Order: sequence, then structure tokens, then C-alpha cells
Amino acid sequence: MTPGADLARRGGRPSIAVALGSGGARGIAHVAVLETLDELGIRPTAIAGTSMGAVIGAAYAAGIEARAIRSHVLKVLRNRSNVMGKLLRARVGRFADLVLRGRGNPVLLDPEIFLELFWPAGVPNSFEELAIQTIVVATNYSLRNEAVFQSGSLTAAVAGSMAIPGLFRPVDCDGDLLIDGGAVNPLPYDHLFDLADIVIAVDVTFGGRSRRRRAPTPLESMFGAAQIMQGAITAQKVKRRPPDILIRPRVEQFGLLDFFRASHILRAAEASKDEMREAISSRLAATARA
Amino acid sequence: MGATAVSAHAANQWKARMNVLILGSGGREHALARACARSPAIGKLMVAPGNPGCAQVAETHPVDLGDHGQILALCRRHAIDLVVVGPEAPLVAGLADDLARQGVACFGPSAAAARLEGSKGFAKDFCREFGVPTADYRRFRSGVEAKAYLRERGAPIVVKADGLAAGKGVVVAETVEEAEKAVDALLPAGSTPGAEVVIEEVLEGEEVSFFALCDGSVAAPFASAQDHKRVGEGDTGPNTGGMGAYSPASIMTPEMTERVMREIVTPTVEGMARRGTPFRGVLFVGLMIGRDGPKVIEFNVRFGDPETEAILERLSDDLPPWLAACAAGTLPQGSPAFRPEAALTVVMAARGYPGEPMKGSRILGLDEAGRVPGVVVLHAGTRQAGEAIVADGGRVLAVTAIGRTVGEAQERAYRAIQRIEWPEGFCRKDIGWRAVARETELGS
Repeated sequence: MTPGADLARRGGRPSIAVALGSGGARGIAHVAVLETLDELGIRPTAIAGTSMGAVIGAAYAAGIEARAIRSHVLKVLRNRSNVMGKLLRARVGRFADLVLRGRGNPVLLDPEIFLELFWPAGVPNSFEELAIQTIVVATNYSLRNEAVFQSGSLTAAVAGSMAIPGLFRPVDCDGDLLIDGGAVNPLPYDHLFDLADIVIAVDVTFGGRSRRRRAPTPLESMFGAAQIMQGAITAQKVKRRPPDILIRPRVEQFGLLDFFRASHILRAAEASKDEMREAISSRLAATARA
Repeated sequence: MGATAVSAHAANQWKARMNVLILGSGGREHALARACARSPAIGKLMVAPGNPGCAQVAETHPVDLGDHGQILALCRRHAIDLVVVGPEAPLVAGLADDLARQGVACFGPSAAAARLEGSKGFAKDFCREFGVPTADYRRFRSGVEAKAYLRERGAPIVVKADGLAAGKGVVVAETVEEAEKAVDALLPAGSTPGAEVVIEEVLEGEEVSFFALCDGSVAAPFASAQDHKRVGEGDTGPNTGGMGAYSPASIMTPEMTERVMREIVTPTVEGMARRGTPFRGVLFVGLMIGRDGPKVIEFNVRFGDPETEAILERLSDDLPPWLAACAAGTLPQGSPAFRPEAALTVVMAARGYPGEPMKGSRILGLDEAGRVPGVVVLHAGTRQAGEAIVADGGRVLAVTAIGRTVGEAQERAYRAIQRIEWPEGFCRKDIGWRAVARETELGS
């Protein structure tokens, strides 16, 4: 137990840490979970995030209220023309000239420029400037293992964490290449057990049934396979040692890149709010009694 | 190429297809509509009011461009993400500002930034303030003072009306008397308060139109063209909106383009940003390339017509993401890709133009003309009357061809025109003659 957790316990209220998982557009649902914490007056002592979970978790850890993150997300995604303009800026230099055009051959985006364009104002450059202790999980592609960041450049870590192969260019970090943290640890709650009394994990990879009859394109099937593997990793982790509270917002009908359905995703996650509130309150009461 | 791939990718993967509304009804708008229609980044494509040519590639909708309420309602009804404004008048009237208030992205500057075109006096003062090379000038509100200055400077000299004049407010006077007559016409005794003329020196050199995409803080070079303003062959007769154009302009070498960007476009975009009126959209610079380098003749704040018809036929990149990036303030480094070929546009006008054009005459042979290799017949002032296409304006068609040389493009365009049966129409037979002469010289 860390001193911080002890302190919180001495204050009479158990400390809470939150892990936000990967899942692309589905991860917009994390905002609804953070709103619930704000509504309950709970300030987490630590946050861990992978991929989209890191993008939203870092903004929250910067001290931006969940409601403000929600309105930022909706505002940014309201106008497709603005998004298109930003994607053009974020595209990786001359890469497109080297590959075959069209035919599902993707153009890579630079995740660091992407964050610069899409993050709300007020997210700092380094972990040290965050208001809440934060852990970001990426995959070290060069060493083929998990890379856990909690100090130094925040943008590089989060950019690496979200660098989904085929969509984003890998991020160079001190000579090693980082890719999507979902490849090794899609729901990084295991890094929080020593940091708080209660560990909440938010899983958005859970469930989903493809209703589409037609065969997926090669790229779609690669994204789909990666998502299924992430769900399987999470299932194994939960079997070994579950978090204290596991939240699964009902967003299974949304795809990895359904960003333009942000308001629908938030509405779907809204339905889980009561359940979340109840789970957190009863666990808080139980922990306080213990 | 980058943008083509990124938008195909974005459209397919990110499902970011934009609904785009193009405003205007000329050949320029038909060309813009064609360029947008082939983009994978487009969801719904509308042109308002459009013309029968636009209707081949987009949904058209009648609208009064002066009524911003109507345009906003159209945007709401069709969930428009981006409005591309063709002509200058709606921009000067503040359409981009009204759209911004409704959260609709607009390719085209605010009213404050559109003053670069809307007020010649403002543009000249702006150049002076930010060190953009242009002809020496003075502004006058009094006809008496203007004429005194004319006599002092002597002819030849240029007299310009201050406001928008659809290309007809500029007189290049060969004699002092002619210049005085122009001042009298533009500043009659007892004229509206605030009326103004700009008198400036005549620039020597070669005229060229240069286009740059601007996002409010940075600019990307787009393309160059040369146009033919006079109605008659050999550049004679009264001025028009433009009787033809070709692209690229051979004088715009990569070195000259770089120089124009450095000496004119970049200082302009930075100056407008510093004034608090950032320029977003296409900056169309009328340039004179003389012995001491490029100088600004005038600024326009929209795509040129007919230059755009020729330019967009050469564009190999995907246009809509670039327009969106201008509106969003997120232009990337680099510039859109063009095919190495030349393109040339010949305008076919109705008899009477640039005065009162004959309307309602029937035009045949458009499909046959469009079958000439490399040719597209763009509609400007046409109207659908049942099955038939009839003339409905001054400039009626913009016959555009692409070719390995300007000469080849010219030959194809005129071959297509021969297939068009329209006795009530006419065109200049010498579009591109200077460029073709130059090519022939080089070739021999």
C-alpha cells in the first residue's frame, strides 16, 4: 500500500484508481464513466490507460472535467469537414506516394500530430504536469513486450499507446518503436492494485456480434482480429485476478472507427451509469466498513 | 496523391464522408463539382443554384445567393459539412461569417478578409503596409484632385473603381483624356459619398494568374494560369469576365512560384492574420511578372473563372480534403499534385456578350463534342428546356481540353467546338496563342 492510499484511508474514504481500456471509438464511452466519478465526487488517485483509454484518461488526469471532455469530443466530431482537414494534416508525409493508391492500402497517420489536433487544450506535455498520477501502456514493437510509461513525454507515450497498426505510424521512442498497447495489455488495471484501495476497470472490447454478411476487407479483418484478441486477453486477465469493479458499458454494437457515432456511443454508455453508480457506492461502503 | 489516398482511406476507414455544398452557377462551379464528385471523401454533393452541367454530377437546388437565410436552411436540411463558395459577392457580403456562426465550415474568407478583393483601396494600402510589391498608386474621393494627379503623372495610367465591378471597373488609359473620362464615369459629380478611385502606374511585363490555398496562417501553392480578358481576337475589344485560359503558365517556373510564395503570398497571409482578419480560402493573385520580379495587379478571394476550369482538369490530387483543411486551419506542408499535362479552356459566349447577350437559343452537339479525347464541355450559362440545352447567359460553355502541350489541348478544344451546333454563339479562335507560339519556337 502506498502512502497516498494510506492517507486516503486515514481520511476515512477508500482511494480509487481507474483503468481505461483500448477499443477505438468505443472508448468514447470512458467519458461517461468519468462523468459518473465526477458526479459521485470521487477523485481517482491514479489512472491507467491503453490506446483510446490513454487518450481520454490523460485528458482527465490533466484536470479537465469529464463533462468538458464530452463537449470537446462532440464538438470536434460534429463537423466532418473539420475532421477531414485535420486528417489531411496528420497524414504521414510522402508515404502515400510510395504505396499503391486506393485498393484498401491505407495511408498512415502520425499519432503525435493527431493528438495535437484532437486533444482538448490544456493537456500538458509531460506526465509530471498531470494533476492525477497516470500510467500509459504501449507495446514495444522492437522488444516485443509491454512498455509502461509514467514519466517523461506524455504525448509520445499516448501516441505510441494508440498507434494501431495499419492506421497510425509507430512512434519512435528512444530508438524503440511503440505500437498500440492493446497488443499486450488492453485493460491495464493490473498496474493499479498497489496504488489504491479499490480498482475500477472499464472494458469496451467486450462483446459484439458482426451483423454484416459480406466478407470483411483484408484491413477490416485485421482490425477485427486484433479486437477479438484483445477481448480474449482481457478475459484471461479477469479470470486470473479480476479488478474490484469491472464496468462494461453497452457499446458492443459500435466499431473501432465509429467516431462519427460519438453521441450514440455516449448515449449507449449512459445506460450503464446507474449500474456503475451502484457498484461503486456499494463497494465503497463495503471497503469503508472493512 | 497523398490526399487521394488519405481521403479514400479516411472515407472508408473513418467513415468521414463530407456533405459538400458548392455555391454558384458558372463553369467554375461545374469544374469544382466534377473535381468533388470523383472524390471518395464526398458523401452528398450539392450545387446551388448550379446549372445543367452541375446536375450531371451533383444534386442541384435553386437558391438566391444573396439570401443567407436560404443558404443556411439548405445546409441544415442536408446536413452540409462544408460550403465551397464560387463567386466573390456572397463572401464580401459575409456569408462565411454567417456559416461560421452556424458551425458550418466554409471554403472562402470572412467579409473582413474578402476586402482584399472587395476594396481596391484596401488591397493597395495593405500591400504598402506589409511590403507586398505592387504598382505605385494613390486613392481619390474627389474627381478634381484625381484629375490633377492624372495630369501630373501623364499616360498611360490605370484607373480603378474601389468596389466590386465584375472585372469591368478597370480602365487602362492610353491618354490623359481617356483617363479623365474614366474618372468622370467612376466618380461623377455628386456621386455617392464614399465612392473612390485608385489611380496607379501601368506595370510592364507578362500577366499571370496565380492561385494559393490558405488556411488562415499558412499557404500552399496551387496552380497558375493565363487568361484572355478581351472579347476579340488579338486581345482587342471590351473587357469580359474571361474568354479563355490555359494552365500552367510557362513563366511560372518552380523558381518563380517559390519567389511569388515568398514575396507575395506568404506576406499577404501573415499580414491578414496579424490584422486579425485571417484569410481562409483560395487567394487568386493577378500578377505582372516584369524585370524587377512579380508585382500584384490585384487580389481576388475565390477561384478564377475560366482559369479554374483549366486548372482542375489537371489536378490529380483529391480536392475536397484540401478545401476542408483550408476551412479548418490545418493545411499540411506540401501542395496538391497536378498532372504534367497542359489544359486549355475556350469560353463560348452568346452573341451580344459582353453587352446584352441573346438568350434562349438552342445548343446541339454537346455529347459529340465531349467525345473528343481529353475534352470536357463544362456548362456555364445554360438552362435545361425539356430535353434541350439552351443558352441562358453571357458566357455559356467552357470547352476544356487536356493535352501534352498547350498546342495539343488547343487543337482538341477547337475540334470539340466544331462539333457544337450553336449559330447564336461565338468564341475567340486564338485562345492560348502566345503559349502555342512559344512552344512552336522552342520546338523548331
